[in-house]
Amino acid sequence: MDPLLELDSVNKRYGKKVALKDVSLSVGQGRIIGLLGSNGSGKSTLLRIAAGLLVPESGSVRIKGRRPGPGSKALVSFMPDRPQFESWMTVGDALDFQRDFFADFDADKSKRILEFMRLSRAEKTVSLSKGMQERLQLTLALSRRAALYLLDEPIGGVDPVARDHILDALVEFYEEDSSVIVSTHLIADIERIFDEVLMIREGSLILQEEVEQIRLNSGKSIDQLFKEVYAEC
Amino acid sequence: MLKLLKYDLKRDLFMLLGAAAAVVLLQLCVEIGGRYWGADAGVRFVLSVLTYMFTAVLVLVAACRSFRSNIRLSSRRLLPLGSLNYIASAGLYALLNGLAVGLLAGIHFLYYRQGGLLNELQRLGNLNFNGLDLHHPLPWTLFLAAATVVWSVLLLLSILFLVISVMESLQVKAKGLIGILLFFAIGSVMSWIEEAFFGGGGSQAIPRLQVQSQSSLTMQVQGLNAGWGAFLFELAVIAGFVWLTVRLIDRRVRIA
Repeated sequence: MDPLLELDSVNKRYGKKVALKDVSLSVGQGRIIGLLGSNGSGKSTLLRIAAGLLVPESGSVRIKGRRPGPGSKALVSFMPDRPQFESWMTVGDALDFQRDFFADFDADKSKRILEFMRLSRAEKTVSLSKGMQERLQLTLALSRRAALYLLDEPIGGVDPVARDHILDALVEFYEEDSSVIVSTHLIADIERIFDEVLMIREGSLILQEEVEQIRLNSGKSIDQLFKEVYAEC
Repeated sequence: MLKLLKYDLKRDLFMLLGAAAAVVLLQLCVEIGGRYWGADAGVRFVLSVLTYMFTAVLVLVAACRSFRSNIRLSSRRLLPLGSLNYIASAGLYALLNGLAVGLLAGIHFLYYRQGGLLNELQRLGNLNFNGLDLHHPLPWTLFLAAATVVWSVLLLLSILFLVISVMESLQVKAKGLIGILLFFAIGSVMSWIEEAFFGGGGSQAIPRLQVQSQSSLTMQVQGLNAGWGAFLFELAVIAGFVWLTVRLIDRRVRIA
C-alpha cells in the first residue's frame, strides 16, 4: 500500500535562501506526527508543498501515490498558519464553502465540532478573536474525512486554555485511519498527543522517530530534546 | 467552475449591486437632470453612452480583481480544481456582468426608441447610422455583432489574465509597471501582426463609435467581414495565452 505522504529528495529555495534541502520522508496511516523546528526552519514550506500550494525545485512528492494536484488536494486537509476563510464570510459561509468543494465534508461532524468549539454559524469571521479564528480554522480542517491532515501552527498565538481546547478537539475529531502532521515550536503543550516526531533544522530533516523510542533511548521528553537540538539556533 | 463563480459573485455581491444602483442613478440623473438643466437630447445621449462604456471598463476591472484573488488566495488554491477553472470562472464572471450591463443598455435603448428620441437624435445629426453597411438581415447582424463583442472580450481577458499571472509570479516591486508594459507590448505586437497579415481589422466587426464632438456620435460598421485567417490567429492566441496562464498558475504564481 502507498504511504499517505512520501517526499523524496525535495529541495526548495526562495531566491538565494534555501528553504528545504534534500528532504525525504514517509508517513503511514493512523499517526499523529509533530513537525518540529524553530522559526524559519522550513516547517511551513514542507507543509505547503505537501498541500500542493508550493512546487519544489527538485525531488518528488506523492500523496497516496499521486502527484500534487486536484486529486491530491481532495485527499489532504490543510490548515494554514493564516486564516483560510475570506473576510466577507460568516462562519456558516466558510463551512458551506468547504462542503461545496470537498466530497469528504461531513456535515454531522462539522456540527459537532462547531458545538465543541462554541462557534455559531451566524458569526462574522472578521469579528472573531484570534483564538476563535484558530478554532474556526481547525473546524474547517477537521470537518472533512480526509486521508491526511496538515496543521500549520494550530496553537500559535492562543492562550493556554484555548490551546488545551484545540488539542482536545484535534484528538477527538481526527479520523483514526488517517494521519495528522502538526507543525509547532510550542512542544511542551502538545507533545502528549504525538506518536512520532519530525525535526527540521535549516531546511534539513534531522530526525524522524517514534516518540516512545526517543523517550526510551534518551530518557528525555521531546521538549527537552528539542531545546538541546536547537540550543545554538 | 460554476461553484467557484457562485462564491465569486457572493463575495462581490455588495460591490456589484452598489455599482448597478450607481449606474441606474447616474442614468436617471443624466436623463432627468439633463432635461431640467436644458441639455439637449444629443448631450444626454453621449453622456449615457459614456457611462455605459465606463461601466464596461469597471466590469473588466472587477473580473481581473476576481481572477487575481482566486489565483493568490490559499483558500481558493487549496480547492481540488484544475487551474483552468480559475480562468473560466473569471471569464464567465465578466461575461455575466457584461450581460447585465447590456440588458440595462437594451432597456435604455427601448426607452429611446419608444420615446422617439432615437429619431430625434438622427434628425438633429447627433447620431449617425449612415456608416452602417448591413449584408444580412438585422437580427442576424445583431447576433453576429454580439458574438463579435463576446469574442473580443474573451481575447482581451486572455491577455489580461496572462499579464496578471506574470505579475503575480514576480517578486519585484515594479511588477505593476512590468504588467502594464507587457499588456501594451502584447497589444502592439498583435496589432502589428493583424495589420501586416489580415488587413488591420482582424476579426473585429464591432460597431465603431466615434465621438466627433461633445454631442455627436457616429456609428459605423464596416460589414461583418470576419476573415477566417484572423479568426484562427485570434483563436490560437487565446489558446496559447490560456495554456501559458495555466502553466504559470500551476508552477509560478505566489500564493498569499
